[in-house]
Amino acid sequence: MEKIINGTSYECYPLNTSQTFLYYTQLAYTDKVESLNIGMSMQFKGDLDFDVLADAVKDAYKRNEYSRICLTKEGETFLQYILPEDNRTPEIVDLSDMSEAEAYKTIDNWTRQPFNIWESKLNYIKFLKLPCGKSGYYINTYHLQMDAYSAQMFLYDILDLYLAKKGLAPEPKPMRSYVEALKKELAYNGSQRQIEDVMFWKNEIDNFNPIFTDYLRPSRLKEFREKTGNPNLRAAGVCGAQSEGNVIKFSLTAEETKQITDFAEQNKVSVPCILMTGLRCALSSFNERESNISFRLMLNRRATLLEKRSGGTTVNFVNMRSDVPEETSFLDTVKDYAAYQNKIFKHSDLNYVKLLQLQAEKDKNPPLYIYEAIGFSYWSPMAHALPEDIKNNMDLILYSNHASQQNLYISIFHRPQDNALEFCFEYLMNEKPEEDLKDLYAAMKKSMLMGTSDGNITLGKILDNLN
Amino acid sequence: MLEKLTEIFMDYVEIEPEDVKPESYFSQDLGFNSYDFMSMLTGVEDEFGINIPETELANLFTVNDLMKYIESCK
Repeated sequence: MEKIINGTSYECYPLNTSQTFLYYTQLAYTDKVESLNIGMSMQFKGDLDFDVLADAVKDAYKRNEYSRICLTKEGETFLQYILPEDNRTPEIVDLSDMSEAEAYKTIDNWTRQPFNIWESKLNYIKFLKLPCGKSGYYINTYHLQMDAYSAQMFLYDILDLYLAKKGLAPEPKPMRSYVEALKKELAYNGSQRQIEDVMFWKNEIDNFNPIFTDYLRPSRLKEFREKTGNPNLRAAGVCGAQSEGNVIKFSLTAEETKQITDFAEQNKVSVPCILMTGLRCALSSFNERESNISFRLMLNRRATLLEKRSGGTTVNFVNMRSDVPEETSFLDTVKDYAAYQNKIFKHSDLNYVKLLQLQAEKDKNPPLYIYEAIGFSYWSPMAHALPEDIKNNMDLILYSNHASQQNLYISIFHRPQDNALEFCFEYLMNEKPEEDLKDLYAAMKKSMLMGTSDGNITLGKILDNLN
Repeated sequence: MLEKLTEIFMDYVEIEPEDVKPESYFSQDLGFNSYDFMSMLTGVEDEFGINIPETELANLFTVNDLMKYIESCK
């Protein structure tokens, strides 16, 4: 539909599945608009030519349609439209006199500033002069415009354009149209495939009886059992917390990461399935060796090149459920996750809110009671041909909006310079889970390293070593 | 069939037609991840009017494996 906004006529489109899901969960769980901010910076040893970088940013806004997405309302309906251009020149911020920790904190604070989300630009870039002779640039964006993949892609596109302008790399390939990808996605609503997906998930939900497995150990399930007077309750009401959020980061070494990626290659399994098996062992250990483990998996639903190069927000969640006995080997558990993923990936376009509704219809739990204490995401390395001296001297840093919607959300990335795995644990501070999270990461790491040094080791043996 | 499959693959991964050979592995040689792969199989199902059951997935490592499966459905 066409709509006049600020005196100009725009073609407006409905929100896609991910945007709808993200917006409504924000409304349901927190009143903080900034809970959907994504802050990220790219940093380099040495100076950047900010004049050339400013040209690169202008070109990036031109090439990446999704970077110009705005939101509007028509009655109770939320719509999106694309600004025809964005010619802003980013502000240069000099943080070079600060310590590295102070500079980090300053940038981190920007990420918690809420956007005016209606009929207004949903990102901004700042150029950074940093301590220790570093420089870089930062983006703060709203999740309904870009997810972490798109924000990263946008930062890389600026870099590619900058290097091309400096004659250090060839011109990057064209990007793809966000609107074209959006129209394809919107065709899913009401389709036969959507009907089949509902039937698939209904069947999955009918055939699995999950139990809440927590990173705070079983205390919370016990608490909710007492609160509801239902000793057989299997879910807990952990959503809706209004609390300050924070992030703890952990890193594997490049060598430990290589052990995991080599194991994946040798056994033809994927890295995320190994990570999920590590998380599964840690949760089992935290919950009296429970074998029935559930958590939410965030999916970056980008399969086609159109989807991969058109940006926007495509994330959706599915519940990863598994119940395997302790006699099962680590490798077989990884394969079990791979098989489950293969089964559910075909049906992963269904809005997660609908999945929660289907689960609630079956279980008749109190509203907002769930089985998954943790959200989990893995971001595969963004394949990018960069000159070696750039690649070896750059860093991609993710900041916290300090207003998490979820009790615990684990994002796992590869560090650009050495491929090492970095774990961001974003959590609600009111629960004071810091020590538990350190233990959770330690258990996850130990499980993965034991399992990838001997794939035949059983889950029971790993759990014996964690307790 | 290889030509048709190559066209489908090129919608999903950044490859050139000459990269696709019967012996190519989807993951190592063509760069498919699990999500791309499952989505691509939906495209293959639509194009060839077949159904690829989950039980078959464990046997599909190379382009040749997929071609053989499609042949077996005829």
